[in-house]
This record gives sequence, structure tokens and C-alpha cells, in this order.
Amino acid sequence: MLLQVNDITKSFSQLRVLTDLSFEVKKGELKAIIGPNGAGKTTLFNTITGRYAPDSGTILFQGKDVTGLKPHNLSRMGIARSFQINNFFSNLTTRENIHLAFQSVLKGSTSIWRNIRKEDSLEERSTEIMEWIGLLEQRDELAMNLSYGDQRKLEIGLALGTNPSLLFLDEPTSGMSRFESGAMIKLIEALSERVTIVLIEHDIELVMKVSDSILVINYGEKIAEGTPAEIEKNDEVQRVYLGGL
Amino acid sequence: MSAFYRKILLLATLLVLVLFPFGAPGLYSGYYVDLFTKIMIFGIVLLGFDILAGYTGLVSLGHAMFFGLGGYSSAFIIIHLSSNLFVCLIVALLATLVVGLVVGYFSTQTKDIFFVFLTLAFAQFLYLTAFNLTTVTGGDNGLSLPQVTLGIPGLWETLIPRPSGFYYLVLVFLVLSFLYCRRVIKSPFGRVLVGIRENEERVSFLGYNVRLLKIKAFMISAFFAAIAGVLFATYQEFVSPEMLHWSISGDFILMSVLGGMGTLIGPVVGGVILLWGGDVLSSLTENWMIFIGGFFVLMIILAPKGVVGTISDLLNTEKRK
Repeated sequence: MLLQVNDITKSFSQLRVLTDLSFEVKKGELKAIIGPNGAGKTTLFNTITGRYAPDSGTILFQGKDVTGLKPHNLSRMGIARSFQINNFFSNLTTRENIHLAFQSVLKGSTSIWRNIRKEDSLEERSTEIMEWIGLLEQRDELAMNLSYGDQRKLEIGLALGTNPSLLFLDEPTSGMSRFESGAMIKLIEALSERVTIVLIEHDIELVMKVSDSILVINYGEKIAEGTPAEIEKNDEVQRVYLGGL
Repeated sequence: MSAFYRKILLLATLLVLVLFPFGAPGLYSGYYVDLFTKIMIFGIVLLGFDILAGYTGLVSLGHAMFFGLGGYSSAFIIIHLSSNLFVCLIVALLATLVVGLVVGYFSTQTKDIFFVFLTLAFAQFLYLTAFNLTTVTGGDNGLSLPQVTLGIPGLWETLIPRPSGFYYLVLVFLVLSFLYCRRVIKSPFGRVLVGIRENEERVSFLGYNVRLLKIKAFMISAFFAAIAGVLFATYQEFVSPEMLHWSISGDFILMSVLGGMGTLIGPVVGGVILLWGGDVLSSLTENWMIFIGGFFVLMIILAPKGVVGTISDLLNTEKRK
């Protein structure tokens, strides 16, 4: 098991956002997390990736207890994430953005005396990532001048740059047109060949198509978990989430 | 501006600075050698300050604390232990290491206006200590110190000829400081600092320990302020609480903004404008501060990126056309 989340609870003052939530992520799978607005999906991401510590419960990554570790520790262990709302370096170019991400896994990543050397393949790897996400031509554009769709790609590129073994993608298609999100999902499918992915996504049809397993939450509680086929048949899920469709 | 022309410009500036003392007193009064020595001492602070304020985005309103700390450390050393400049420097840097770590540790827990005021609070604490601890610091009267010497303690030591000997000593420190700071901003470390300025949260999600890096940047800038403080005190042969006063910290910010934060050379240019310009204006009118203030307001409105930031923007758009 790559990731084990055991009974985590998180409250903000009186408001309980996550309640005794448990789930697992197997190596190599693409797991989707779905649920109505305000179900606690992003809070769940924030709690696992270190923005908040859970109030109770444990999180194991590759068998090690990582509960309450800071984002930079988790990142170094191989957990990366993207954000629902663009969270990159607006005043830097695409290339500089990706450099900053990839530099973090190099030796001497924050050294004053050591230069980034050729053999570190910073340029090479960054080019590879930019090519992969389709931003090679826009590499010298400032991130803030990119089109919205390209910005969403950069958001993922940044997360990829740190060479993660577990990648959390928080609504990568949010705000995208149907056409753009189709391309984004293709990218994610291709990505899932290389890295384990946990995905928050609103488009149920897409989720059903691409994911290996689905976790459904509502009011911070797990209401179902299983393969897309199982989720489709689940009455509870039908009631709270898919009812309208 | 291409890297080549920038290099030429820097070397030309260096040449002018090297030749400058030879012009006195023939072309201009020796007073200007004295003035430029002081301006260059400020330049050393401003180089380090830009790493923190300009590149990392942490504007400290307490850097006079390290300037003064360097000054008082060297005063105590010269009066009680040794007149050697390098002993002064070593002790000042050790003192800065201790004070800087404490102040840096607590200040970097905060940011924005809270960082500004926390650094100010620490600096005021030191200022008031120097002001009130009359038996040790001489209080408001300050301390006069004997002349500083260069050389190896106990073996061979020499006084530094004035004004040009000290001028060249400071120039050497300025050049070394510039080379080091440029090294810092071009290093992997420097790139991450810019990332912290632009988006601190994402930097931490990319695997960097933001807090630690902020403390490092804080320490580097503190060291430069302390080195400048040592030079200032030993040059003036006098220290007083003035060196620790918050208005000195304010001057650092003013000069940085005027010259262009985050350009490394900009704040130094700002220092030249403010100190030299202030000197020229004050010889013309008593109310020279009004003109400095007016100029500052105009700059903020018309060229918020400062002199160097604005010029380099202009040259860049020129190139793109």
C-alpha cells in the first residue's frame, strides 16, 4: 500500500470538516475522490499534503507515519500536489517555474556555492516536462500571461517537477471548457502510467472513465469506495451525489 | 542591456572609484573622498539588505540593529582588547550570529507588516539598551575609540592612512560584498529566495524549507550590515546610539526603494542619490529634506521600481521592439 489514511478527523473551530475518514491508495492506481461541493475534498488534500495537521488519525506513506509533517518534508518523500486555484509563480516564466520545481530534487538545491551543473540535467528534464504538458513553446512567457488552460497545465507541471511517486491533483480541469478538460484528462491518463495519482474531479463521466477506484465523500464522511462499476451501482451514492443526473 | 555592456559599465564605475581619490584636492575638495567612503559603507549594507528585502521580499525595519551592533562590537574590542580590524570584524560577526539568529528565528515566523514591526521592536530594544546603559555604552554621548589598525595582531600592525587609505579599504570590502551577493542571487539558493518572494506557500510544497531559507537570507543581510557597522565606527572613531536608531533602518528602505529593490545594484544607486544628493542640496538650502521627500514621492508614483528597475525595464522593452 502506497498511502494509508486511518480515521482522520479535522475541524475548524466548531465546524467538523472530516470525520473518521479512512482510505488507501495502491501503488500505480488512479484514485478519484468525488463528492458534492463542500464535502471536504480539498480539506482532505490539505490534511494529507501537510497544509494542516489532522486533529486525530494517522497517515502512512510507504509504511512510514507522516502524520502532521510539513509540506516540504512530504514533498521530499515523494508526495506532490497541484492546486484547485492556480498557485504558481506569476512573475516568473514557464521555464523558471519548472526549474524551481525540479531544482528542489537536485543535490545542492539551495546551495550558495554550488551551481546547477549540466550533469544535473535541469534544462533537459525541464524541457521534457514542458514538452509533456505541452508548454514548450510558451517557455519564455511569464506565467501570468499564459492562457487559462495553459496555466492549469503549468500547475500540474510544477507538481510533476519534484519527481513525485504520489501525485495529488486538485480539480485540474476546474474552469476549463469541455474541450480543454478532455485534453487535460488525456494528459492525466498518460501520467497515470508513470505515477500514482489521487484526483479530485467534478466531471463524473470523466471520473468513471479514467479512474481505477473511486472514493465518495459527503459532509466529511466516506459514503462509498470501490471501482467505477461498483460506485455506479451504489444506492447511497446515487442518492447523495448522482441523484440529479 | 546585454551582459556585456553591463559588465563594461560596472568596470567603468570601478575604475572611476579607484581613481577618485587622486582628483582631490586638485579637482574637488578632499571632503568628497570622505563622503564617498561613507556612501560606500552604506552600499555594503544595501547589497546585503537587497537579498533580504528585494529578493526574499522580507522588508526589515530593524537593520540598523546590526549596523550598530557591528559598530559597538568594534568599539568595545578596540577600547578593551585589540585595535586590529580583523579582530573587530570577527567579534562583530560572532555577535551578529547570536543576535541575528534570535531575531531571525522569531521574525521569520511572521511576514508583511508584522515582520516589519517585529524587526523594528528588536532594533528599538538594542537602541534603548545602548542609550540607557550609560556605564558601558556612554549612553547618548557615545564612545570615542582609538584608531584601528590593519595587520597581524602582535606581529605587525599599521594604522590606516586617511582619508584615501580607508577609502580603498572600504572599496575593497564593497567590491567583495558585491561579488558575494551576486554569487548569492545567481545561486540555486538565490533562485529559491525569489520563489519565496513570489509565492511562499508553493515553494514549501515544492520541497523547500521556507523558514530555514528565510533565516539564512536574514543572517546574510545581517552580516553585511554588521561589517559595514565595523567600518563605519572605525572610520568615524566614534559610536553612538544614532547608529542603532530606527531612522537609519528607514534610510536603508528608502535608498532601496529609490534605487530599485531586487536589482542588487539598485539600492546602492539609491544610497548614492540620497547621500550625495542630500549633501549637495543641504549646501544649497536649509529645507533640503523637502526636496528629497518630493523626489521620493515622485519616484514612487512615476517609477515604483526605482531608478535601476525602471531603466532596465525600459531597456528590455526597447530590445523587444
